[in-house]
Amino acid sequence: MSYSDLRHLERRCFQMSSKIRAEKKQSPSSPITSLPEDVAVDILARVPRDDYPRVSLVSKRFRSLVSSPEIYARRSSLGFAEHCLYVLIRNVDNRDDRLYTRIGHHRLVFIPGLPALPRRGSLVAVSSRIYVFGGVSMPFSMSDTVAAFIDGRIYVVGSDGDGSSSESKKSKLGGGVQYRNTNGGA
Amino acid sequence: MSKKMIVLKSSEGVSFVVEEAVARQSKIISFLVEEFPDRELPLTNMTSEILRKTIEYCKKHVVEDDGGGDSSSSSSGDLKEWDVKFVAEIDQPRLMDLLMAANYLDIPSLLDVTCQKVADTIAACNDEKEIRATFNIENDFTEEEVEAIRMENQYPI
Repeated sequence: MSYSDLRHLERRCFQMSSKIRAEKKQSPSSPITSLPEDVAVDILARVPRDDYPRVSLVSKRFRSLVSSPEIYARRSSLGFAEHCLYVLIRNVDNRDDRLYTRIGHHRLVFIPGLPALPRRGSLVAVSSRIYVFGGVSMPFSMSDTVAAFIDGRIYVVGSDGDGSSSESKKSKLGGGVQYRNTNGGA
Repeated sequence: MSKKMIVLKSSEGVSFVVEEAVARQSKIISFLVEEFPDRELPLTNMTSEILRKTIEYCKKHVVEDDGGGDSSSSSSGDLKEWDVKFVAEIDQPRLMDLLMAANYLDIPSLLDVTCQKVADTIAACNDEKEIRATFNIENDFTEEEVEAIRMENQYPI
């Protein structure tokens, strides 16, 4: 018997006992709503992405599940990952940026939670994440950025406050950010 | 040579005698038979009906060691077809019970086919109301919240 076996068994037992407790509290509840999180994610990851707007209207839990990073990670591991088109719509009057993704052929779906996009900043989408570059949130101030995802790394090129250009690269794995000034601040 | 058998007991107290190789499709049972040999295993949260279905699945999927002639081992294509038929014949509430049994007993391939079947059922529903009705899910959104989500989801292009 290995340690991991034991941990696994403990987890199963906990899941079952919490399920039984949940059933005692609200007897007529649906089995699908009392499923452990990883199983619910496993099910919804297998539903075509075009159906997600409909699924998100079912209940609060379904809505939170279809917008979770876990569901996109599971879709990838199942081989269901697909290319997505993102559209950024900027209201020039109030500078309200809204990010949408295309679902099906004739519909854009709003993606909430986009941070305020810096002026002349850039976005790059990598797997289920979208990175925003530019402005003062960078390790050093950078504007007019152009970002791209090449060979597992994100490269950002832009200019600093003095007008010199600098380059940074962000490694995909480990989340470490490496920056390099190409012009040495000249 | 006789095969080693183990006893699984359902919530109604019905005993099922199965070959150990069949029962070992479940990682949990596999672990338990090593820890508690020569004991019957009580599965107090599984009805006889669901346990019978689970055993039927495991019997079909057991890989015979000798790979001999008319054993239950099948080619992967046939097996996939058999899986699809197996879950297609089960009604919605029992499918959820079987899914939970697969999760509880840790039978990855059975969890896989049952999750896929539930996903297909969700995808086949025409709207969110049909999904709620099919799975008996309570709508916990207010009218305003539903309207707001609809607005977010309906930007035409």
